[in-house]
Amino acid sequence: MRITTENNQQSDQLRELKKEADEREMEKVAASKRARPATGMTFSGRLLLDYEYQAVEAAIRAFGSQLTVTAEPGLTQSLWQRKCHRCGNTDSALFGQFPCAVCEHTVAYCKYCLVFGRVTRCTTLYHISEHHADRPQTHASESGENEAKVQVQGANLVFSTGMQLKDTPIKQGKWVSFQFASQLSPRQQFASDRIVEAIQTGLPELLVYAVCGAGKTEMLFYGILEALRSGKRVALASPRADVVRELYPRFTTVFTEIDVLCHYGGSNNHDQEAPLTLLTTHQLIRYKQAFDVLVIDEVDAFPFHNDPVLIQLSKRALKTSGTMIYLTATPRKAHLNEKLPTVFVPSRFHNHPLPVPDSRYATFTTHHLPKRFFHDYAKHQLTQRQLLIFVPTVSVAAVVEETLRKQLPKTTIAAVHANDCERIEKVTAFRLRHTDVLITTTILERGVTFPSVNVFVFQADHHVFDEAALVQIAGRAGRSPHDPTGMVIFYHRGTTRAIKRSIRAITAMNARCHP
Amino acid sequence: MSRCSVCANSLARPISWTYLGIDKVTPGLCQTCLDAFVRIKAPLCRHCGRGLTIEGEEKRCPDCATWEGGPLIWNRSLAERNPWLTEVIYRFKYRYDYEVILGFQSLVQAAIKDCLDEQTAVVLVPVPLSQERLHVRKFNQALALAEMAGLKIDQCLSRMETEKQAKKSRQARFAASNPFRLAHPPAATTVLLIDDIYTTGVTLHHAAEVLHAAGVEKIYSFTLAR
Ligand SMILES: [Zn+2]
Ligand SMILES: [Zn+2]
Ligand SMILES: [Zn+2]
Ligand SMILES: [Zn+2]
Repeated sequence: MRITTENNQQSDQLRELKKEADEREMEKVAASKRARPATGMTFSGRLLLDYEYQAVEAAIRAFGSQLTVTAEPGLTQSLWQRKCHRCGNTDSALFGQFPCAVCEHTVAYCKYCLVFGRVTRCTTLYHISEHHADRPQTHASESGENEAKVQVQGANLVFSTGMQLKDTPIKQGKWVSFQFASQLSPRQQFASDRIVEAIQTGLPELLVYAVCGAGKTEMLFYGILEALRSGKRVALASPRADVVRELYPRFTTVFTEIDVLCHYGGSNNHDQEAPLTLLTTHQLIRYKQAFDVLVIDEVDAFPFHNDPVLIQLSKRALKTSGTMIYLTATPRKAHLNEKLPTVFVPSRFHNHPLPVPDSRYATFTTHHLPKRFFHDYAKHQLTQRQLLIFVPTVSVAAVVEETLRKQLPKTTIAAVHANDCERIEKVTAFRLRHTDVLITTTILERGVTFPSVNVFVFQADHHVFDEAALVQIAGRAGRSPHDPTGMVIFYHRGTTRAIKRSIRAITAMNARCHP
Repeated sequence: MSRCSVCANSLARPISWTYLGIDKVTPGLCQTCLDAFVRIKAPLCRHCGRGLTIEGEEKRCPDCATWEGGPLIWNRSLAERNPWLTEVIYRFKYRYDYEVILGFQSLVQAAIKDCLDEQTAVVLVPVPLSQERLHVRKFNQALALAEMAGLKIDQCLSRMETEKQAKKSRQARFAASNPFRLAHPPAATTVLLIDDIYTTGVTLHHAAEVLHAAGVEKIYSFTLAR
């Protein structure tokens, strides 16, 4: 019995450990890559809470006049409003208060950014900034273009611009090894050039509007190379940790010699920094005036869309002279209305058109799938592809999974949702073709790529499937150049505006590049 | 409108003066959270207050079979430490979200009154934090719970320890020397110690020893989770 109690305690602890297990794993990866001693850059741009600052104070002091530390109150309050100076929150519902045992006052605290460490009325924020009088930008960028071109033609050359800077001490950010051999498509190349240009000229904002599967990441590489070579600091913010996790190996194989920092979840690694940072959008909260180039992935999506706090945070994280690059496959009206300088990439990297969705009327009752579905399913089986089924809610996913298991006993079926603890395993199994059918809620709508799938959407008239979501979902099909098409079917009980508009948007994009 | 202190769901309440801002808003838990909350029900282990599945003659759980009868007479706890409550306590203690706990006010108040069973002149002694911890957390979670009862509170203990309890194994906790000291003489001869979680009971036993040595006759304890 004594043993069982211990087991109970252990399982409790296990729960907490699990939460941070994968974060720690990433930190290990980052740590193994990190052999360089701390530089001024390690701390510059950081916004630290008082106890975080105390932990690194000695290290910061060691840089002497290289770094400037500014202190400001963490939270201010006036008669009518409270404001958190770390996240910018002013929503009165997102503040709490408690009797502080240290300053012996009842103090307010911010609940919006609580997971990043609590900011109270009696918290001091420390902003650390760097003096850089000596950033040599000129000659590195002039020669850049030509050498990058050489790189495209010659495969797998280690490309280092450190060569021209022999006489200056090699600092991070000037010596950049770049291993990128794949040929960009002409449209990708065009967008890539625009990005490089924007970074060189210090354009404040650039919107890259590229269809799903256009190869956004590849288009960024030259721009990032350009920035890193001129000693600029670059960050790419993505809405979800999944995507950050997927991007990390892609960046480290291209930029082999620089430190790439991965920053997501509750990880608290303020003792490390790199010229290139990949982070989840919310992690921008820890930075102020930190980056010269900030790439915001999927501006149209949660959590960025409709969150004024995050928009503020991303602007704050960028240096005043910096370049903000927004990436999107489905821009919201607001982005287009702002008339930002825009690059449009209407075709996929393999230059095949986007699969245009079919919409079909079909009613779903619980435990009963419509005939039209089985009719389409028979067609699907002829294509040798896997099937991705999108459903609006977790409960529908469970019902559909159960029904399909009964009706199609020979196929292997799995269902995933956001809080599924086996989510990563299930998605991996599907990618390795161990499962034939994957039922999913909208969590797999973005960022995740499977080479050869057909996509069905059940209850496409549900409100979770807005225009952007449906365009993204349709974009899951035909990603691979070896299988550039796919069936995309929206089942609904009455077409919604979102269904009509998404189909229209896809057709329009196809018309633009395949007239 | 009042909201659930744990999940911020709005609470369905009858129209009252609250709406006009005249009555004080009492925070609470929503139905979803109340469903997740598992109250410990009798029969209880008469020592540690754990819920027993079968009522034996002994009325003690296997863990307490060797209860030596130290100065701590008994412990009572409000709720079972299920995943939901673990999460709540995690937010309260390690995310420093003080207000999460406010929804438990009426439950805690009633439970403390209940377990004291007409005993008067009882003083609540919250288990203290070390100065280092207190400086980071800026509140003592045990004091926050004690304040809910509306009884007299005496912070007569102090804590010397710096290490986190949660990181130690069971053995290490037993072996650890008593981290508590007397800050000032206790104000009563009957004391109810208050803490957030009863895990092994070692913390409470240590605190009880110090109080006993200072002349407190009856020492009980109450925790939110067990
Ligand atoms: Zn304070
Ligand atoms: Zn905040
Ligand atoms: Zn609730
Ligand atoms: Zn017991």
